[in-house]
Amino acid sequence: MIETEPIDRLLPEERTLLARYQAGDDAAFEALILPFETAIFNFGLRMCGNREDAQDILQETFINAMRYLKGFRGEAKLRNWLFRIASSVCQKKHRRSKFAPEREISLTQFYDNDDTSEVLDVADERRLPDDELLGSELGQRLSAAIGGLPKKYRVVLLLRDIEGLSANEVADILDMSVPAVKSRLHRARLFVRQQLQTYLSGRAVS
Amino acid sequence: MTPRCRELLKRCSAYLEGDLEKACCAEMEQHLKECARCRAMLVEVKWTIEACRHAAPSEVPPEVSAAMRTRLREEREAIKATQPG
Repeated sequence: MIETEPIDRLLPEERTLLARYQAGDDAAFEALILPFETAIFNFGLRMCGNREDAQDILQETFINAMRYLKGFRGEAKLRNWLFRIASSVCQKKHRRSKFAPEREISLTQFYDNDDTSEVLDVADERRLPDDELLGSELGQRLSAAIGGLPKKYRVVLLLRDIEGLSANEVADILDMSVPAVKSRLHRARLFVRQQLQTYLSGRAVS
Repeated sequence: MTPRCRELLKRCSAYLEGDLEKACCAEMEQHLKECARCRAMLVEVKWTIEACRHAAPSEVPPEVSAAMRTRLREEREAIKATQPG
């Protein structure tokens, strides 16, 4: 049998910190993990919609990371490995709570309820959202629209469009096929677009 | 909404991400030339994706960060207490 080199997806500085942590240097753990604090907290906040649950997700994710990092070999990017833990923590939390069963988003729901305004034409592409716009009213509307997505669609949109991971990485994190990720992502985008449509048509005529 | 409009709605993410075959892309582009509604729809989808990419993260409140560090310290001590020696 041919032995292949293990895949190493860590950055050089992460590799050094991981080796230090695995050799017993506790301070290396925080240096390795804390750069992801904001990303994991925001992931929890957008998944659960409230600060208390986001705090739990942050804590549980990092505690699990502490438990399993000794055996981590760098076969995944550290950020993706943490998102995998965070997604699993969210899923467990969701199962324990009394949420209604998840609904499906079908494409047909967008066929007959479409309020696309023809006024918003290709010329509007130059007015793509900027950071300033997203800090204000649109940011709140976007958060509410994402919060309205069923969780299995929301998690895909968060990882792909908010965090900017590739469809392959999202599939790997969520143990899904790439076509399934793309299908959910597309429905999630159409849903969010529909929720923002009043705002979008307001922009078009302003 | 015509069947071609529905087809475009069904495939616009794949179109934007370059996942479609050349022939399929050409068909969509032809339809886009003829249909202002679909052009607008495509702009809205692009716009939605861009809005997500620019969404500003919330800062971690200092008390949340402090509580997390306390939990990590407690966990580290608990792990050490169970280790031999």
